[in-house]
Amino acid sequence: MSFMNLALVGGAAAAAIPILVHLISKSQHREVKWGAMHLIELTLKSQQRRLRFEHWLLMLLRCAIPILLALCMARPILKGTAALWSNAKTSLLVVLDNSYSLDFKGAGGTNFEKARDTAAELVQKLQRGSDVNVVLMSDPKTPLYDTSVFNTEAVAEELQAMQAGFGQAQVSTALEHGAEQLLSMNHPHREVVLISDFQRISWPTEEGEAALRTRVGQQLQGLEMPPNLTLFHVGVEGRENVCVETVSTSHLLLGINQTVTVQASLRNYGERNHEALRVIFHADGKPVDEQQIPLGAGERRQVRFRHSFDTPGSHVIEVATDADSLKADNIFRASIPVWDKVPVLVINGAPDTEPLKGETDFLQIALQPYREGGEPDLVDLLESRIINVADFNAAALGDTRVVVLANVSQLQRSQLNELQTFVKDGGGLMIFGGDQLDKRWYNEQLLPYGLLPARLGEVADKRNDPEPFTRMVVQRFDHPALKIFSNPRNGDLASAEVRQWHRTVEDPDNELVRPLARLETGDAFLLEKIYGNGRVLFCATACDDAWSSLPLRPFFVPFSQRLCTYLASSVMPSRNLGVNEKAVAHFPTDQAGQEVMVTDTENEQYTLLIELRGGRGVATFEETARPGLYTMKGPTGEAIHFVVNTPRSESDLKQLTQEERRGVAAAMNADLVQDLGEYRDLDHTRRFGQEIWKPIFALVLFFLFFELWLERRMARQRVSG
Amino acid sequence: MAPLTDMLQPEELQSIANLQLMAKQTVEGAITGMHRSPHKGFSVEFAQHREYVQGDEIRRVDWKVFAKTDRYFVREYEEETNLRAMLLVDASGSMGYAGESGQTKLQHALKLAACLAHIIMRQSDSIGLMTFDTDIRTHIPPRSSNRHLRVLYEEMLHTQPGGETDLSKVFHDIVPRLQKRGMIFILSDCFTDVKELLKSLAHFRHASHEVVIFHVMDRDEVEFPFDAWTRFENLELAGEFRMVDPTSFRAAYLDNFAKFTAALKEGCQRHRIDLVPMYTHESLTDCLARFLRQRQGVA
Repeated sequence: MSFMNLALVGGAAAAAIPILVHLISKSQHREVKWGAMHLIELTLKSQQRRLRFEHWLLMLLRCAIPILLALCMARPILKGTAALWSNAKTSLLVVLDNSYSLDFKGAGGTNFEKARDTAAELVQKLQRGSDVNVVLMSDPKTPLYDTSVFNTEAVAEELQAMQAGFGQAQVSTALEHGAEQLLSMNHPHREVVLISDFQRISWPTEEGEAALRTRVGQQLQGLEMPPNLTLFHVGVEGRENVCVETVSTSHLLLGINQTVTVQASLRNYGERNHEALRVIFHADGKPVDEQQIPLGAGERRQVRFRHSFDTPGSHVIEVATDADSLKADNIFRASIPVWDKVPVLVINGAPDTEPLKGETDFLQIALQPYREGGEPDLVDLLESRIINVADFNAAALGDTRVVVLANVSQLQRSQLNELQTFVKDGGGLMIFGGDQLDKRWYNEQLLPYGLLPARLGEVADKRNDPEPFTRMVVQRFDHPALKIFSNPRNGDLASAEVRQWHRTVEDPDNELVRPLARLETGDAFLLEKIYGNGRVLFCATACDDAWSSLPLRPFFVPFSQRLCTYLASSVMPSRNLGVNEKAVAHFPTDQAGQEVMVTDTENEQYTLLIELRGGRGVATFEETARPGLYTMKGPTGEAIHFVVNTPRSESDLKQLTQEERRGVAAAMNADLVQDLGEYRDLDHTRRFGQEIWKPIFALVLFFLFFELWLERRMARQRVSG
Repeated sequence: MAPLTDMLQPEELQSIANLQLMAKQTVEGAITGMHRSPHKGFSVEFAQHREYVQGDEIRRVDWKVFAKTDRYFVREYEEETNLRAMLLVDASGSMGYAGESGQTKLQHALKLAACLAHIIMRQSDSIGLMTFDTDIRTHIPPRSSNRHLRVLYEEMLHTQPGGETDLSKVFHDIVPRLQKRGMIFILSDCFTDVKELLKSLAHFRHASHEVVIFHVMDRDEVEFPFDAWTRFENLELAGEFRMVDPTSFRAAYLDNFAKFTAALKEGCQRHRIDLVPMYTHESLTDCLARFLRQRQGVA
């Protein structure tokens, strides 16, 4: 126990006053010569024990009252060591929830305005010399300041200028990064204040998430100088919200004048039914279509738009609704590249001059059906180029998006290095099997290089079996490359007879590899592996008709096209980003070192340099914290559009209940507050400990009344019997 | 002679002048004044001579005077009471308590005794005085002469409080000394064991005495008004004292005092003894008036 006014504890010496008064009054007694002594003796005899007890009790009460009063005035504190921090400077880490759900506007402004004002006031009230840093929950890896700052006024101003709408809250990650920030902060007295709307989706109460938060809480407490963790609930729960959940397109790669179907999914998280919700479709910023749909409370509904672009390059589509005040999820944008050509380099491992006997003859027809079919008016999207193995080198790669190894026995080491770099930087590699494959080389060279999805086994041969072939297992395909074959009208993959194929030894623990299709024997037919920024697909059989009837089936054209466009689409870094994902664009190597201009959602412009990386020019823009449209213009003036969409998980505005919030706080060993007054009380208690003068004062009052009552009782009491 | 005015204020004398003492019981001897007596009797105290008139008894003629003067004279005697009253005044130490009035209980009791003596003598009854503490200090037998009254006053004036009290023992000692039955006035604070006291009073009643107790009390003893620590020193036993905080003590004391007076009252009623409370702060007139009203009510 410690005291705020220690000197006043000396007032407890006043306990001597009743004793002194007693002694003085006893010594200054009155003397009476008395006749009725027998009555006095009689009274003393019958009442002496009671009187003595009551006198002692009265004396104790009278002594206790000044002692307790002195304690009250000295303001005792139960938490002794806390007094050390009473005037200490503080290191304050504000973990601010700036996810877009806080943009919900209730009475008196948005929830984020309340959150940021709260944070600003906390910072402003800090003791001079305190330092502060801010971690934003939608971008926890990047604190507001590289190191904590002492200019609290500036921090408060910056906080007050902040806006919400920055993606999803990452609670545990934010606290983990907050803990790292704390290590470099300056004062031993540390406070972590997490300000959030406690949206249910960001604060799941499921066991795993709860355990994670608990672990983070323990991690904070385990720091050398553990902070006080306070969870600060702000804002009101939104009752109305409609969001555009997703926008998807029918094409992986879109060519000029190809009609793309845009499918948008809208969901009503609110409690109000919308009879005719207006949904608007924009292309390149211009409204091109509009639909009105009914959307009841809690319902989800799809809307489709069709559109085509007549120019190649980067285009932006947008599906929007104007249902409510939470704008961040009312719009969903997508960046769609429209291609003129997609270069595909096919390396032929078994060339043959006889028609359709070469390894790649069927494949070439499938990749360029119009050109091979003599259709001059139609243009193929894919532009394939066939070379022999010996001709493969860096120069041959050029601006190739996809490399196809068709029954290639092996590659030289330099060729292998070029191919590895190509895939690592986002290129697509398609490997077809065949009788020429050097299994040993594949397993000992290509596999360690990371370019083979699985170790090759023996070649399976069904030709001598009673049923001399096997088939692909047709199922519902979720993979974008095969998705269209879930519908039999787009081709029946099971119609192909596979007589020979490479068995593979799959590693179920390798998360980078997944089978896309299997044969009826259970062997993998098509395997995918992610390597670096690129992808590798391995087809267990050959792309000619030696091992299967695959190229003879009608689906072979769309099958080959889908696989190549899928691989090509991964070459181009994604232009549809999440919050804080980097925007990356590739440029020709000869443009390396030149500048590109980026315009962000606020029309602010940034200049970047194209760097030479992995045999190509790369420009990277990292300031994508705000959802919206970012435009990058390269040296040739070509515009590349990146769109950043907020994750829609925060569209459900339901918050944790007060009871749940209490549970979360308890699990994290944190305190929960609702307003600044409550926080100030809590802070005061932490700094000064728990003041207990109030209960002591109540005890004083009780003793006073008890003393009065006892004295009167002693004066009036009638002895019974 | 110590005149009554030495002890009583003039107004007190005037007040008591018209008081009539009524004897409750029939006393021995002839009725004189307002008293009734079952016995014939005459006085032996000579008063004066007067000439014989027809109708006087021959035997009352003073023949010696006739021999000297040759005239008939009849001897007249002082009328002698048939009421023999005895004043028993408690002069123990406890009667020496003086409260706010500054007058001790003994002084107040002696004043009352003087009044009673004056009244009784006016009625030509005889009155005696006995003072006591643990033993009888003085004993003046009852007589009815003015000279005797003076003797009583003298004794009263010189009586001082002191010594312990043992009322029951003293009363048992007194009873054999009272040869004729009569009226006993006890003036005391009765601070002794009530049971023993009542036994000794019963002794008086067995000897056919009529007993009146003037219970002399000071207001302090009744109300116990002390509020600071007080050292109560025993008036009857030098050196004995008790330190008491009266604030917490009062209730119990008053309770015991009430029990004491109640027991005394109940005992007196049982033995047909008149108990007259008498407070030092009250006037004697009030006290006597109360006493006589009480007696008229009973008679």
